[in-house]
Amino acid sequence: MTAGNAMLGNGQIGSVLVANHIDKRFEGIAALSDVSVHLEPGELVALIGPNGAGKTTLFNCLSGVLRPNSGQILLKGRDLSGLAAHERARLGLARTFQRMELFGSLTVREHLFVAHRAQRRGASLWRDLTGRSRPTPQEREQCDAVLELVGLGDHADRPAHSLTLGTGRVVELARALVCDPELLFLDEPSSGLDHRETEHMGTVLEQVRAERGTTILLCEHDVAFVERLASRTYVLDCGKLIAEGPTAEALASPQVRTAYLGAGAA
Amino acid sequence: MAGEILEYAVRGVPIGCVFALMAVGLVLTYKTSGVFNLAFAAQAYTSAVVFYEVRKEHEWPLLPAALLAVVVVAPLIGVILDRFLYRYQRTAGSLAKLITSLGLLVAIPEIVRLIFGSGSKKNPPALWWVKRTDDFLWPQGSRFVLDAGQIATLAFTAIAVTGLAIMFSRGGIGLRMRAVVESPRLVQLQGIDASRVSLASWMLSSLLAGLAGVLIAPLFAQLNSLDFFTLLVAAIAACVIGSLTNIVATFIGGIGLGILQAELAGFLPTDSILATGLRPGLPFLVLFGLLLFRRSARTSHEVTDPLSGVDPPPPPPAASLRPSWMTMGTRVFAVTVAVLGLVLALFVLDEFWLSVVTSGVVLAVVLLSIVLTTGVGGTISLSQAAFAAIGAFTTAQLTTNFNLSVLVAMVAGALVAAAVGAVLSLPIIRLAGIYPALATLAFALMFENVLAPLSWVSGGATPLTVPRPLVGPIDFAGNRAFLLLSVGILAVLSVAVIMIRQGTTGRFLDAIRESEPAASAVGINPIRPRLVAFVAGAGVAGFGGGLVASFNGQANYAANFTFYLGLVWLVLVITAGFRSVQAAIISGIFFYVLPQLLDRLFRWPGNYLTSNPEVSGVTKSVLDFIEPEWSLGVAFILFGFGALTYAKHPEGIIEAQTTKSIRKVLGWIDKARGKGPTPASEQLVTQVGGGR
Amino acid sequence: MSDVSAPAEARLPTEAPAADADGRGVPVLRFDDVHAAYGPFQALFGVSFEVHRAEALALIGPNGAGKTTVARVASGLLAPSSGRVEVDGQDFSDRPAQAFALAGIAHGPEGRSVFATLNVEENLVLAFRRQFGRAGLRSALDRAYELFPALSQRRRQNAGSLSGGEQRMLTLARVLVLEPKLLIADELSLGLAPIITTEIYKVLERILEAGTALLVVEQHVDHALGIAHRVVVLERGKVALSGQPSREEILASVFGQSQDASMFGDREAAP
Repeated sequence: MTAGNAMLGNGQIGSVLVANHIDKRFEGIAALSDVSVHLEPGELVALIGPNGAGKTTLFNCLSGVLRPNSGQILLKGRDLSGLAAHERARLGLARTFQRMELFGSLTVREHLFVAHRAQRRGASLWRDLTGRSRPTPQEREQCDAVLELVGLGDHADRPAHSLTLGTGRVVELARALVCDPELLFLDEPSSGLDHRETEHMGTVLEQVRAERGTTILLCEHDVAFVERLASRTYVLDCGKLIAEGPTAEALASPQVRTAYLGAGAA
Repeated sequence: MAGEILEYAVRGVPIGCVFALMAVGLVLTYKTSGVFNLAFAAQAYTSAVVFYEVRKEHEWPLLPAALLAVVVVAPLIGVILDRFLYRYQRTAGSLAKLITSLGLLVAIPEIVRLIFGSGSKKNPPALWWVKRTDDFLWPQGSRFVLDAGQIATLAFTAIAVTGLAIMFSRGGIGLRMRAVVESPRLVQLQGIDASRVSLASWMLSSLLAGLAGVLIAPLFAQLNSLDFFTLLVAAIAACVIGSLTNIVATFIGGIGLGILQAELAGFLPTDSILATGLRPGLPFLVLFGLLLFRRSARTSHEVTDPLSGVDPPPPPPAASLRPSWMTMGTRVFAVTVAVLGLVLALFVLDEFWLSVVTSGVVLAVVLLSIVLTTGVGGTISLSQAAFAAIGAFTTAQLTTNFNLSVLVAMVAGALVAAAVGAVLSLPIIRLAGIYPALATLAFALMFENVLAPLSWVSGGATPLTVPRPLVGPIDFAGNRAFLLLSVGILAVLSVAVIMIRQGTTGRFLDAIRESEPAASAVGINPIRPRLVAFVAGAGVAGFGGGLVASFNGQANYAANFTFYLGLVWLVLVITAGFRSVQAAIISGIFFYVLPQLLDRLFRWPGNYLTSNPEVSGVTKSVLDFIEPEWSLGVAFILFGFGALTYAKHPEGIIEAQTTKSIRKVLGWIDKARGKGPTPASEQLVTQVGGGR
Repeated sequence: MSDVSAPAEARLPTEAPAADADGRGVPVLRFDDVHAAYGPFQALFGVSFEVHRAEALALIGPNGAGKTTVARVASGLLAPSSGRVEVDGQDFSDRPAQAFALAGIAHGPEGRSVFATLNVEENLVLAFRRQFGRAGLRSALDRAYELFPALSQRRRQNAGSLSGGEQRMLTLARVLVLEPKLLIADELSLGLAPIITTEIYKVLERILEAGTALLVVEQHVDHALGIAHRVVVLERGKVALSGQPSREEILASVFGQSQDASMFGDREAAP
């Protein structure tokens, strides 16, 4: 299944992301071996697997934090190898973090302004010195639209360090969305959230998909959350893909049950 | 040839041992307390002075003198540092700890001078049973003869290294010390008393500092704290060889540096530029080479205490507490005070105080560069004084040799400083954690010892003269006119710094400082804005340096731009609050005014005694005891101690005081309106409860 | 608070120590009207409960209710601003964290609580040396690796370079092997694969049977109810409900609206 897919995925026209035969070793130990994934426009695909299976390593290879030892990564047909994380971000790869990474002293709105500005204009000392660095009406409008979409309107002017974990994760999502990404990586968005917050996160993600049709790769441990949202699922174990397919099928595979869910799981 | 190589190598080993000992002490302190303790140099100096005093001045026998200097005084300093200082900073970041150590590096030598007097201490004794180091030579008559100082160095280094190897071998106290650095609370959860472990590690590393100091001392013709600072560069280079963690590699690196230096000394022709430049600059070159090629220096090793959530959250910045009417009010108040101050300075002060205040305003321009580089850009730079000196020298060379107008020359000075900053920033800006501070420290000391004495840089031993500006009909030769000019320049540059801080560049830098992974995930280049701030900061420092030179009439390195002064400036601005322009301005003026005020204070007893000769007894002896010469030393001690507040108030004492007063005022208002105190917001409680 | 009902008798050890008034011996841990604050921010407002030998008490509540704060006070990391914390009947309110640890209270803090710059084995040695001495160290290490085989392949690796889940395992290995008098487990299952969560709960059952008291802080109501004899539901720093409420009562109390309950019902099954 995996091998066939990798060949099929090669340079497929129209795929948002194609990653072929990714290998990553740390000091000789293989963290990822021959992992191939592809994402089609508008899909929400989940990536699950036991702890230490290499999920975060794969995320980091795709987003440019790590360099894979071999393999090819194409975003909309464009080869990403050799590009740093911030360059990939500008090409339309956005992500959130497993352990929240907010700009503590900035307000929620400022998070969005910074991300928006970084995507489109960048910083210029000259514009700063001539006082032309304030957000433009267009920037305000687009940021407000995202705030509204994820339901952060009430928190817009609060500094990030005063937010709860649940709200903080939504801010991370909003900061990624304002970049108008081709592809969004979500690294355990429900981790540490309580039931109400998890429910809210699920609703927000559904809204985002309904309104923007963003392609999303989701890494999660909450199986119910995955079942609710993902149409397709990749299962990673010990750096190798052990299953791939529609979520229900992937979860039902015997390998996944022994490696990940455990015998007693539903 | 081969024989010569060996001979020079043997000569290099003792000095290599000194480098190694200092470096191992630094790495050990860093590993066991999380402090890259630059004050190590000052602690070493203290023990060396104590040993000199008792052994040479009071002629104690070797054993009691060594015990007092190394085994009593040195660990005692460690105990004081731990109990009164670092125990409150255990969970602070390595940067806060580095800044504390900078404060101590400034303050401790001044305290030592206050206690033991500032008279010169010639021919420091060796840690051996002889009066002079060359009273004992071994092996007699050989080509590789060593003197008492060198033998002591070799012997004690061997003893110290063996002891450390045993301690850190496995599972022992060394492991607990390393664990406490990361999270004292997690260590406590294992049933281990973290405060005792941390006390032990401070006593141990201070003991090493004391031993290193006493062993190093005979290298110098006389004891001088600056020489100890200079040794830091070689020691830091050795530390970087060991990636700040590997003690064995650090030790070998230190010895290797000593040997390499001795080989260079032996083989290079004595009068060539290579000999005068390359040999003293060697540790610096090695350090920079390592930093360029070593990837591990680019990722931050900073680990945060996983249990830091137990600490109360930082107070919100003053700006977010302040209602808008109050912001308006404080702005109006600040402008009024500034204008009144200027009017006062121009029309009321006498020439002397006028020049004191002008010095402060001129210095404030240089200090603005610290706000830009460190406060806004987030790079701790210890080389701002060197950039100022580059600006001053360029201005001096251009006005002297090319007859250029002073203001144009100052701009050129700014550009040259910025260019040097740009070249320097290529390796530095990519570095993470405390490495930029170490790299700029190395550059500053190399500039001081190697470049500044060269005649094509500074004009040689006699400082070059620099005139005051003359713009068309306006002559700024007078002090009042010059003050106005400086205030104008300061105002323009201050506004520029604020614009950068509040503009997109500033916002990007905020984002990078708060979370570099998140910043690059939204498309911010994590290098570029920091590079811009560093280069702009170097330029501002260069311009300020030209202004300083023009004000003083000469580009005088020793009087205005030394590494030590730069250290005091940095410490001062950080204490006041390195993100704010006000802090730079207040620090600049304070730097010159405080010593003058202290001078008046310390002069008073003497004057009182002269006018009241009938005073006698205890009062007289107490008053006699106070010396006017203390003023500068005491001022520097106060400046140094100021930095100790950084860990508690990283936002600076100005900001902290503002927050406090705003709270108070808002409290009064609530009271007047009949409301109770504002309850802690629900949301904040929630955040803390879920703290991670 | 007053409606603390009797624990499930079947799971009480038969050889209970000298009984006090309500016949259950001196509690291992007792909170009496505990208030706690982080600087100016108060997080607990008069919390009272007790945990007995071989008894599991679960702390449940939404994020920010003060669950983690209770765990911190119970292990001495945070001193109560008022009220009394007792360990084995002795006042421990002002004792430092190491005194709690030496009295047999083990705390596996939430999140990644490992020494990132020490390697896996050093992390474990630091935890076990005091408890087991040099002689028992080897077998304690073996038990830890047996519990989490993933760790045994990474003995020489710095803990900071482990994956999030592996760091969590290391934290738990440290406390599970100790078999202390009271084990405080904060958010055990956070970030762990379902199969490992199941394993860990099996270990908890085992040490519970061996007489250890458990204080389980859980986000996951079903996991908590699966092991706990009694439950304390926290809300905004106060005890909202305690004793043996039903799942529905807890949900109604904590999450109020009915849609949350239905959402909750859809979540993965308990082990």
